[in-house]
Order: sequence, then C-alpha cells, then structure tokens
Amino acid sequence: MWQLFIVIGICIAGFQAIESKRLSHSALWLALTSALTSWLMYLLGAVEAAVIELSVGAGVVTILLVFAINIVGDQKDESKPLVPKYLAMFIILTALVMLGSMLIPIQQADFLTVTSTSVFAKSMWEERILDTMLQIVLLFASVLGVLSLMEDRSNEKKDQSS
Amino acid sequence: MTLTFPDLVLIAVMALFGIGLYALLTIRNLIRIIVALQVLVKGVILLIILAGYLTNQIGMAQSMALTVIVADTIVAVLGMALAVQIMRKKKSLDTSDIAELKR
Repeated sequence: MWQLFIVIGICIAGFQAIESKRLSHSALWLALTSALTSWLMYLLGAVEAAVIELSVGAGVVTILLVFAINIVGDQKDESKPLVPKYLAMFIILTALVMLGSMLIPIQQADFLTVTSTSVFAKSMWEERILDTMLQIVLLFASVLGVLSLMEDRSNEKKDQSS
Repeated sequence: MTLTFPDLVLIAVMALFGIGLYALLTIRNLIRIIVALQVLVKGVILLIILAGYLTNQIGMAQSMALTVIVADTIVAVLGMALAVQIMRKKKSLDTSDIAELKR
C-alpha cells in the first residue's frame, strides 16, 4: 500500500498551501499538491489527463501565481478569519460526512459493471466536440480578458495629463 | 479492514475538498482564495477520474477532467489579473478592504 504515502503527501501539501504564512511558499506547496494529484491520476489510468494536470496545474498556474505575487508583493497574511474557525470546522465536517455517505456506497454498486470502454481521443473529438470548441473559445476570451486587465493604465493617465 | 486503492483516492478527494472549503470559509486574501479554489478543484478532478476508473469509462472521465482543468485555469488566471488590478487601485488584497457596498 505504498500509494498511502502519496495520499499523505497530498494532504500535507494541500494543508501547507493554505496555511503557509508567505504567498510564494503557498504557490510552491500548491505545485507539489498538483504534482502528487497527477501521479494518482496516472496510477488510476488517466495518463493524458495526468500529463495535462502536471503541465497546467504544477507548471503554468504556478508560474502565473509567482508572477502575480511578484507584482502584488509577497506579503504575510495576518488577517482575521472570515468565519470563526470552529464554525468553519463544523461546516466542513458536515459537508464531508454528507459527501462520504454519498460516495462510499457507490463503490459497491452494481451499475458500475460497464462493459464498453471509452477512448480519450474519441470521447474528446467526436462525442464532446461542442464542449471542446467551447473550451477553445473560452480560452481565447480569457486571454483577451487578462490582457485588458493586466494593462497598466497609470501610464496613459500621465500621458493625457502632460 | 484493508484499504483498497480506490478507498485511498477517496480519502485524498475528501481531504482536498475539506481543505479547500475550509480555506474558502476562513481566508480573506484574494491570492489565497485562488489557491484554495485550486486545491478544492483538484479534489473534484480526482473524483471524476476515480468515477471513470470504477466504471471502466476512463476516456470519458479524462475528457470531463480536461474541461474542469481548462475552466479552473481560466478562473485562476482571471482571478490573478483582477487581484493585480485591485492591488494597484486599493493597495490591499483583503476582501473586507475592497468592499464598496458597506453597511
């Protein structure tokens, strides 16, 4: 049961990602969480999704996070919690009990014995072609949105005033 | 009682979901909220893959997971761009400092 160590690693890295005092440390712990998650996905047989998760989750998002942290400054988070911690813990435990009660019986269900297998490329480019096209459009739209948001308008104002 | 591999993955899913939800409820820093969302969505992606593994439909599960990864990345990137602009204008990343509709 060596996979248990991956699960423990995911729990520790995920917890550190939200509990680290410095933002840059959070970004690095998040990258480790992503890498370990993609390892589990690979072990489950989802090879393509694991590669994409590793390159996007541990790569692109981490680089962008570090870039954003560089701009805003690596400040320590010492603000008070939004919801009291004991109330948050109660809500989380309730949510996890509900999630567990739904998920655990599913593993023993009869309907899981599906005979036909699905292929990633066929599913992606034939069965879900509309979704794929929509993702491409969304990606372009988000790139345009980010470009307009990242634009530094302070220089324009200076030019107009001079 | 011995834990099988799907049981272990289910534990990881619940841990990631719990950590992400807890952070969303307690954290005020905008960048940290993005990190919390990322942690939560990683649990969801893992659950989709686990469902595909259990039903022998791993191809379909992978394409669904890919959609979630794309959507999550777009949310993260737009969130970071917004956080940068808010930091430039308000000089703070605390959600309570940037609220315009105060009671």
